[in-house]
Amino acid sequence: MKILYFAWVREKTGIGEETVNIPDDIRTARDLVVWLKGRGEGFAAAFADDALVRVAVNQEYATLDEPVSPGDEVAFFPPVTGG
Amino acid sequence: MGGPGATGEQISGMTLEHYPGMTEKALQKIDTEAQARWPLEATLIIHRYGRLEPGDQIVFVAAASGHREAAFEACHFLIDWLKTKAPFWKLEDSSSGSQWVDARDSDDAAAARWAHAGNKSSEAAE
Repeated sequence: MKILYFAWVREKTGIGEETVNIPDDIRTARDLVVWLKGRGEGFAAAFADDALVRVAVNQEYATLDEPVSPGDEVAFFPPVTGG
Repeated sequence: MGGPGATGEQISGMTLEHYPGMTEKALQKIDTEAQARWPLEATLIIHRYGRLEPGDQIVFVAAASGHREAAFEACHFLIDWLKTKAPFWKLEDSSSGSQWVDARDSDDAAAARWAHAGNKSSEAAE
């Protein structure tokens, strides 16, 4: 699974993009966040508040209930502030 | 870009981050939605990314139509939706350091005016 992190989410995780083998029991974006939180302090801080982080699966906005699978591209980022 | 930033301090520069691949798709979707809602001859969306200096322009939207109301509404729609639906993030630099800009409820409210498939959502406040 390819995972990308943007803006202050990236600053907290310390990673912009990675390809990881995720545990078999991960079914949804929420499961993925729970697993990511356990990967270290930066990850725990990045995902401390689910309400502050948005998710996209295969470059489409999604909710944390979205199913995810190993071949997906998942991105985590704060609410957008373009324009 | 200019004036006080999110912290109220004078900003000395800004970096706009985007999500290559998804940002372009999101802008295309917004454009397609505008074309579906209004009788438009043409539209144009320009959004810069990377490092910007005070006074630099950030975004440009345009809509051409045989009906001026359609053109004005479509422009409003394009900017309202790209502010809340296109993956961009602003990092402001000021004398006290760098600060990520927070999303604004006012932008969400502006985008919500166009929530319904029709044109302007009448019950939403102007």
